[in-house]
Amino acid sequence: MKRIYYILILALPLLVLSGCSKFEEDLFGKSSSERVDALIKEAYDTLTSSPEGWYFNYHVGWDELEEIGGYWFWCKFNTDYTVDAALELNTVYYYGNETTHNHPAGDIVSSPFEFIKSRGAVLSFDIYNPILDFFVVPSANAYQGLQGDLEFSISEVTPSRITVKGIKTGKIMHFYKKTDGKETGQAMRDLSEIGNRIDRTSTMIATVAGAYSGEGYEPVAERAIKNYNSHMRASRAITLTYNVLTGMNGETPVTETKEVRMLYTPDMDGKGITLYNKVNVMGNDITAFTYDANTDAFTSNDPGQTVVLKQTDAYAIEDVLGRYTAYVSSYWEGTLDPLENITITRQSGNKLKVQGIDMDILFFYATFDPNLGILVAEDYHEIEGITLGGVKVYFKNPYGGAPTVFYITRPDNVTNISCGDLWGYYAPDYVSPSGNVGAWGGLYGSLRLIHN
Amino acid sequence: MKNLFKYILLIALVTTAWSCSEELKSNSVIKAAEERNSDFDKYLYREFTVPYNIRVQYWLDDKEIGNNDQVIPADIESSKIMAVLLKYLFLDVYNEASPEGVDFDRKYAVRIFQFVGSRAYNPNGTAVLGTAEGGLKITLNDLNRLGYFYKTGGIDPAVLLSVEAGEFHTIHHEFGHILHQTKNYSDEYGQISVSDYVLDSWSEYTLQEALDLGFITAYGRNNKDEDFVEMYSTYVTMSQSQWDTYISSASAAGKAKIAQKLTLLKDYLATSWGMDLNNIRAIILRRASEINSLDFVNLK
Repeated sequence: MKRIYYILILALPLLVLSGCSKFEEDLFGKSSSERVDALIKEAYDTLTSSPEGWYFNYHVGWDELEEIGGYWFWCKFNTDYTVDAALELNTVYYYGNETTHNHPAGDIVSSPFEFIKSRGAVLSFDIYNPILDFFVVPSANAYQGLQGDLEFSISEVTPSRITVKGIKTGKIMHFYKKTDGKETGQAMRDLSEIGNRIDRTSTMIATVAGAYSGEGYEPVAERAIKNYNSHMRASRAITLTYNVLTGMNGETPVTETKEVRMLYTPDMDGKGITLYNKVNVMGNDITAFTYDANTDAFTSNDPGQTVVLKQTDAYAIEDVLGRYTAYVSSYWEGTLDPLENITITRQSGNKLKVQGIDMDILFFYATFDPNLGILVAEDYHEIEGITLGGVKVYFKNPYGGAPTVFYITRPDNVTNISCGDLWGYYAPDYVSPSGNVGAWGGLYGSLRLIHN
Repeated sequence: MKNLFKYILLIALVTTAWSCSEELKSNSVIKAAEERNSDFDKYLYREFTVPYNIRVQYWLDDKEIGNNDQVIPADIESSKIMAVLLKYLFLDVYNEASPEGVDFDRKYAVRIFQFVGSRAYNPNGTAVLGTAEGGLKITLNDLNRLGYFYKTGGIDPAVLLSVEAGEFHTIHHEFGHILHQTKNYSDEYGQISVSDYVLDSWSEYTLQEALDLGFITAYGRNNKDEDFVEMYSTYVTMSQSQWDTYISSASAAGKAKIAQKLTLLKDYLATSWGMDLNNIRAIILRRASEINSLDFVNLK
């Protein structure tokens, strides 16, 4: 019996102490709930205390091919839980063919913001804002939008920089306190101009010191052309491909191909780009490039300046105008005989008309982008499309889908204009194979124009 | 000695319980997402939460949206419009139509509405207009178009009631599920098209094929429950002449089956719920015609 009493006496303090969370908190520091509260309070106090607001370097993409680099938002957080936001890009929204929102770079739109406690310290933009939602808004052709975040978990707060992590993308992003005294709209428009200059071309001439550059093995640098909600741009993801000589097989070089993907954000002063992740080229670590506007070239910041990327010259419109032969095929109608006497003429500025002698066969308007080297077929109301088997075909989904893009190449100095992924929809009086009247669907075909 | 120890133990336990009940209150000066208090929040609390225990979640709660869906939030103007319409074209309809009055909604209404600004899209480009989970929660997509319509001349009621995309077709459809899950309809209904249900393959069939087989929509071919609620929600959101036109292209056999189903539907509502199907329809259509006289702005 005595033993039992001894055990009970010993057990008593444990029973008292283990049952009480207050004791645990005193013993082990603050509870996680308190830590979250403290972090939210710190974030709120810091974010709302910047009279000029914050620059927000925003990255998107949880799938590799959707990672298109970093873009500059400006956000001002107010004590009434509203945020004023602007972006360096133009944001245009459509409902069908109606434009419901049109905000040039630098326009400011306000909306509420929240902190969500239940999932750690999360900053949430959970009420519509056409600026903040730009990279999120989905469409029929981009069911996940541009894979952007609206919720961010807060990782670190300092007086001039707040680090967050996108909930869906996992991207580490920063808010930088704005103290430059610039008027916000002008600051964003300036960034827009810098971006337009720095993101101008889809291809770049690349030199990589130490890489093998024999004919056919030259380094190649490209930026994907991406649809930013019906506005085509070169993305801020550079893919650099180069070859390393590993030996000779008689007179034939033996090489190993390397590919490096670089996501960047233009620096605010327009003098360079900073990479999201460090990359290694020919054994050299690169974290940024300087940009020289005079040479229109980027030079890597490693001591040896291993990589130089120069933006290519724009295409000349004279190389695009003229007479062509068209090769058309589609899933539904098969391959048509080549269509001769297709002409491309200039309507005004960079607006071109592509027209067959027989207008019923081939007729559409497109905007020429000399820097990206593309033709963008005009929107629904502007074009007639082409006729396949007697059926009018249009190039753009009338419910706000992506415009059809034709790529220009000039092998042996002959202009080729092609779209290998021809996507259109059938006219309202068409009856599709599955019996839907006026249904739209993919052409799953190609159109290739070759200059005569 | 034994008793002394018992008393010590008892005191210790009581002391423990008492001291632990004094939990540290979280020292939060931050207004959390959970503590909304705008005029619109007060309106929602008074008109939905208090009388019906319904939560109208107009902010985008990502937990509530499927992880693969990328959508944008509803804007405040569209959210207000939808909240007013939820009352006008859903709750108040049944308050009027049911002999139980407001108690009917208290007992049976959908409990959570999640508002979403854009459509949700599948990878193949088809749009998801709304989702419902077990009659407890309905997610309504594409709501930002309501604010746009309102600003540019008014909302066409047909948009709200349409079979393909109308929010109120969806809401009355889901409410139909709540009704039959509470009090089931007769087995006779499921026998009419017993060999023509195709489950998830319904999307491979056209509307005309569905009509010819006695279904009111292709989705009705899924199973008898969907058939039942599609009949209900389509009928109550169309005028008689619209209905007649809609089914006019059905084959004779299809029309006969639709008529049979309609009779059973009417009987069910009258017998199980004391409601008249045509009265429900008349109320919905009358109210739908009145929506542009509602105040969507000054909600407090």
